[in-house]
Amino acid sequence: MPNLPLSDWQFWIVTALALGALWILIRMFLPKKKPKGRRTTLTVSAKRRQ
Amino acid sequence: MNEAAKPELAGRIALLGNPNVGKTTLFNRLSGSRHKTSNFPGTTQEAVLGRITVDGVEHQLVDLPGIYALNLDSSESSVCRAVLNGNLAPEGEAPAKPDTLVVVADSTNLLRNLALVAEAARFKLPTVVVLNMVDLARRRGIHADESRLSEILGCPVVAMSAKSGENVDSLSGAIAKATPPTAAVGDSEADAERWADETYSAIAAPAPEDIDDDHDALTDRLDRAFTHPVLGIIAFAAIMTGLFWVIFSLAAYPMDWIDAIFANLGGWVEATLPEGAIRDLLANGVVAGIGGTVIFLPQICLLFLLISLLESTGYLARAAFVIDRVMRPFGLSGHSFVPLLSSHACALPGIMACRAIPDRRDRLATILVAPFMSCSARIPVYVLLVVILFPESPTMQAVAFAGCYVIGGLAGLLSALIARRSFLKGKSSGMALELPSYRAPDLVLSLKTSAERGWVFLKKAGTVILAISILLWWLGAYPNVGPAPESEALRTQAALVSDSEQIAALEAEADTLDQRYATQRSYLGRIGSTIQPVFAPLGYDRQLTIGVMASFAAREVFATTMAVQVAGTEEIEDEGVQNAIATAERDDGTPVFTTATSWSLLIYYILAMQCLPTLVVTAREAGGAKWAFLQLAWMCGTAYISAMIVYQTLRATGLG
Repeated sequence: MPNLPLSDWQFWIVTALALGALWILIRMFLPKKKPKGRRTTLTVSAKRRQ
Repeated sequence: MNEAAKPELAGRIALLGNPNVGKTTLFNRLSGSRHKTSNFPGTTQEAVLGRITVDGVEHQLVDLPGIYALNLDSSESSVCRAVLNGNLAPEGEAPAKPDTLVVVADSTNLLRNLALVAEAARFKLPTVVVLNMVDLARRRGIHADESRLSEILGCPVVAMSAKSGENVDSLSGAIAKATPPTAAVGDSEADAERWADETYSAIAAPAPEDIDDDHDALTDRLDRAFTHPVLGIIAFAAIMTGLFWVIFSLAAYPMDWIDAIFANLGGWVEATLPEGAIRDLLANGVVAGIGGTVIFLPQICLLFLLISLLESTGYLARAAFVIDRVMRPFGLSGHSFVPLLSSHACALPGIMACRAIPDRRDRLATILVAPFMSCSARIPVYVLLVVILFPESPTMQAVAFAGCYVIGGLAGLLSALIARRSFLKGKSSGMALELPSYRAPDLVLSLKTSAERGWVFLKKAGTVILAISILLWWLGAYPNVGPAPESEALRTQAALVSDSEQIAALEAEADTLDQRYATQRSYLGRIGSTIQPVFAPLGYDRQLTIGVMASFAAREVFATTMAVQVAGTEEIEDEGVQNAIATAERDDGTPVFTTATSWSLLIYYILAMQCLPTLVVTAREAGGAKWAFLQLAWMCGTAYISAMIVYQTLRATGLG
């Protein structure tokens, strides 16, 4: 068992922050929803009017 | 307010025009947007949406990619055709023909622009023709009779200057009165050209009293120098080196201020907060980590300010012309220049700009080598290492910094050559490039561009870099280990001696040993030690290995990673973040950054592919993951071997 200061309340706060940071970094590698915005891509393969 | 809650727009107005006619400048002026403009073709690879109020009613404004003709076999041309035919619409919207078409023409190049007007007239959409840059045309003695053109075309024509704002107000009235052109322009390309010739003869005539001969003569003289095969290259190299020298000379002052601010902030946190993990995280993780990156903000803002100023003068189009000759022997066409130039800001828009390259093999070769161009994320690493290598000489720093860009560019060209001689064999296609008139630099636009790039950098510092700083600090702080075995003996020895100086020296040595022991035994230390043998031939220790590995999340994180790692062992408050990194020590007490290691790192960062989003975009744009894997393997392999050669050579020759 690694020697972690489990009884120190500050340890739990910094660990929670580190987990939050880890989540931010993991999210970078996950597929994203397309942001809504004014900039848009027009491609020739887009849906055509029937 | 979200998009869904916005009121329904009354109609769609499309902006069409040749590249470099000031279409995007007009779009920005009409919509109040600050979209980047460029005065060389190919920048607008996507349609950009804005809003414009006509007669009190809001319309959607679509800025289409700049094209030379509507009948070309290029993606931009086909996008424009599809939009005008009503087959294509922005994502999430029903395809429909634009309610009004605004064709923007350059008054100084009216003959060629009229051919596109003729093509657009065939679509019989309610149309307004804008004769842009009338101020420039006036100075050059070119007069276009817009009333006569309106009569010939059978639709409103507005002469204006989107840049100065002259007569822009009358456009909304013209849009309200837009009618489908009645001119008979014929069906063939030859018909359109004949119509353009005849119309030009009827509407355009120089006004001799207004001709600015001096301006034309100056343009010719400058062009002879800037587009000369040898002089042009020398001028380009001199301008870029001068630009980097200005950056290093000017940025040194704000860098020092930022460094001092973060050093004092770290000291203040340590002095104010009670001892504990939270204080250590704030002082040694957050402040040191963010400070390690934000210090490079002045360089980034200055670089983009100066590049944007250069671009607005019209010089970069001449540079494209000159570089086209350089790229041709390497199997790339001038079409690749804009994507490769864009990649110096970020490889993502650069790779996306490759859609404009008509030839598939040219396009693939450009996509593969675009990440070799030094993007803005590399700047902090370059600056850090260049300053470490040449601490006292801004001139040498500028030369080395410019050299980084040259090495990246050459690596890209050589890689393209290899690709074009092997798996992408074939002849590259030619390129037509229009040289715009020289203009006074647009300081306001350049300042906006610079501020935008700076803001993007700061946002990254506030998210990804903050997250990496916190995570690295945690990994470096835990688990807790006791004192180093060797330090116990030193402390015992200190308890036995009576000389106070000797006691202090022994205890300081014991503290250093404890610190190193704790760092080595931390999670971060163990990860670094496990991977370090891979990078040992390049001269990297445990700390540099962590820096290189963390850079795969974002390259600029390297300085942050080093700052967080040295924060626990160096007095950042006294010497500043940058100096603390520069003087960091390895576990054996030798410097982390020797000359050989610094050059090896610099080469590695110039050449390595360390950007996941770029790989994703490469796979998408090139048409398969195999291209992204090839790019990753080629770039990282080249970087590793080159850095190893540099390190081992410098060591063997005693220079490192």
